[in-house]
Amino acid sequence: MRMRFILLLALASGCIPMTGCQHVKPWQRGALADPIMSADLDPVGTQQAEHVFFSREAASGGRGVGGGGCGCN
Amino acid sequence: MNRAGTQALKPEPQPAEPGCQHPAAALALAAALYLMQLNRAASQDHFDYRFENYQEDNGRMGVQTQTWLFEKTVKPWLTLRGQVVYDAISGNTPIGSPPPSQIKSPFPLPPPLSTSVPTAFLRDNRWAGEFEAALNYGPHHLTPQFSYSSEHDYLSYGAALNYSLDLNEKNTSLNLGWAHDWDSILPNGATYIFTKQHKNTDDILIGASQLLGPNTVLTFDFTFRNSSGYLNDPYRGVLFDDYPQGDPNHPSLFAERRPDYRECYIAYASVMQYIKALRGSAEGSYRFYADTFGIFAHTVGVAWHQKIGPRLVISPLFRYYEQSAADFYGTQFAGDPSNPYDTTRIPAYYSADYRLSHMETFTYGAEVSARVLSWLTLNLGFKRYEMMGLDGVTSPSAYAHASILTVGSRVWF
Amino acid sequence: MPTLRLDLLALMASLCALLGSNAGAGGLKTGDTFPDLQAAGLEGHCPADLKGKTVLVDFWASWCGPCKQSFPVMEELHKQYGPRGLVIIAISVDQNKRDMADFLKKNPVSFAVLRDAAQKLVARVDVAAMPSSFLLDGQGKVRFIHTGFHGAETRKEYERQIESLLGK
Repeated sequence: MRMRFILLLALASGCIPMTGCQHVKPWQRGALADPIMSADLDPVGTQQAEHVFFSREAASGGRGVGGGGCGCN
Repeated sequence: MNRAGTQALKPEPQPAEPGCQHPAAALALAAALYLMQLNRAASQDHFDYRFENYQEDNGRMGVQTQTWLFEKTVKPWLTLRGQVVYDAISGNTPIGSPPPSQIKSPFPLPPPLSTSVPTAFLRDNRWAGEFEAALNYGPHHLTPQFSYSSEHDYLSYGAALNYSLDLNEKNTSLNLGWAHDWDSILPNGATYIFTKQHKNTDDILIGASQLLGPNTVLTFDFTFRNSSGYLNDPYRGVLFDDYPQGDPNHPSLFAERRPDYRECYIAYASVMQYIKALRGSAEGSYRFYADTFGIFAHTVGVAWHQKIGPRLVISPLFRYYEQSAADFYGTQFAGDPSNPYDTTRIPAYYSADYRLSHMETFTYGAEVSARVLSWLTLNLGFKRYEMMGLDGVTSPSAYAHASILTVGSRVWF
Repeated sequence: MPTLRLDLLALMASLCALLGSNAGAGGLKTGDTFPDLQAAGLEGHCPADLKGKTVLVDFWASWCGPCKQSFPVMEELHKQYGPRGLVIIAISVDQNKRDMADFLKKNPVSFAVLRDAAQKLVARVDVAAMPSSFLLDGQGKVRFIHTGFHGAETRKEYERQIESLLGK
C-alpha cells in the first residue's frame, strides 16, 4: 500500500512538469553545462553540510541515498 | 551527573589518533596518485581536499573534519570515486537533564541554581570511507557504492545502488536508489549500554529530474526509510521527577527509551534557474519529512551562485528548518521507574534529547570559489548555524549555535 | 509486498511512451547529402571548393567537455591527412562569440573554424549529442557519423574511415 502510494506520487509529479516544458536540444545545453548549474557543484561541501544537519536535526536525507552511517545522532 | 542507581557517568577522554598514520588514508592516497598517472587526456578528473571547522558557542561541541576525494574516468563507461573522511570531535554535549533549577529536590538548596542544562565532555575520532563505481551504458547509469565508518563507540558498514535513466534526449532523468546500513553501537564507560547493540537501516528513493527549458532544471525525489534495532542515543539520559535526587547539579538519570523501529517518508523538490543577464544562477529547494516518531519537518533552502569575472563564484545561502517534537519527547517525566510502589504510569517511550524537540534552525553564510589556475580551484566558506527551541519548555541553553568555517581545494588532472 | 495493478503498469508505460516521443528522430543519416555550407549563413571563412574532397564537419561548443579532447586529435588528423586532401571544418554552436574565442585561444588549431550563430544549421542536421561529426565523401554525401567523442577509440575510427575515403 505504501510502496504503491509512493510510486504513484512519483509518477504523478513526473507528469506535472511535462506541461509547459520546452524541449532542450543537445546544442542548446550551454547554460546547463555551466558549473553554476551543476546539480552538485561541491559534493564534499554538500556532504559536510548534510552531516552537520543530520547530527543536530531529527530529519535527514531526501536528496539521495547511500553514504553510510555514523554515531553522530 | 550520575546514572540512576549506579556509578557516575563520566566519559573517558580518548587520546586523539595521529592523523596520517591510518592505513585507510594511506591506501586512498596511493590509489589516487596511481590513478592520476593514467590517461592524462581526461581533464574532468579531480582530487579534492576540504577542511571544515564546526565550532559551537560556549564550549559546546567542536568538530574538525578533513575530507579527501578523488574522481577518475578510467574508461568511457566507468568512473571511479573514492573518499576518506577524518573527524576530530570534542566538546560538551547535553546529557539529557533539564537545568538544575527545574529539578525537584527533597533538600532546600541555596540559590542560585544553574538555569543551563548540564553537559558532559566527549572526545572521539572518526574515520570513514566511501567507494563507488559509476557504470554508463548509453542512457543507463548504475552506481554501486560501499561505505564504512568507525568511531570508538560506533561502527557502520553501508552498501548502496543507484540507477538513473536518461530519456527524451536527456531532458528527463529517472532515478532509483537503494541503500542499506549495518550499524553497531559499542558500549564504553560513558554509555547506558553494556553490550554491543545493532541497528539496520534501509533507504529507497524514487525520483526524476526534468529540464523545463535551456535554463531550468526541476528535481523531485521521494524517499522511504526504515530503521530498526537500537535507536536510542547511548549517552543521553532522562530525568524522572520522583526519583530521589541528591545534588541537582549532578542529577541521576535513566537511559532513554525510543521505539526500536522508525519509518520515515521524505518528499524533496528543487529548482535550478540560470539567469544569463546576471551571470548567475538561483537554487531553491523544499523538503517535507514525516516519521513514525511523530516528527514532521519542513526544510527550505535558497542559494545564489554569482559569477564574478572569469574565475570567481560567490555563493550566498540561507536555509530554514523546522520540526515538531517526537511523540515521546519531554524535558523530564513524572514517576520513578525504579520504584515498584510508585503508581505513576511510565510511558512506553521517553527521551529528553533536545534534537527531538519542537525547534527551528537557521543556516546562513556564503562560499567563495576561485579557479586560480586552469587545474586548481580554491574555496573558502563561512556559515552560522543557529538552533532555537519552539516549545517554550526546553531550556534555550540546550540548543547549539555554531560557526562553520571551510577551506578547500580541487586539483584537476 | 503489494502487487502492482495493471492500471499502474499502464500509467507507467504511457508515461515512458510520452517521454520517449520527443527523442530526436529527424537527424541526418548516412547516405544523405549534407546541407550546403556556403549557403548556411555561417560566420567565418568557409573553404570554397569542397567538391571532390573528403570533408570532416564537426559541431562543437566551448562548453562541451569532450570537445576539449577532440580538438588536438582533429589538429593531428589535419596535419596527417590535410596534404592528402582531407578538409576539416569545425562549426561552433556557441551563442556567445567571446566564449568561442576564449576556447580557441586555449586550444589553437589550424583548420577552418566557423560559427553557426543562429544555431540553424545544427538544428537542420539535428545532431544527437555534442560534439557530433560527419565524414563526407567527394559528392558531399554523409558516409560516417560520430556522436560524442570517446578518446582513442574515436581517433582510431576516424583514421580508418578517412583512409577508406581518401583511398578511393
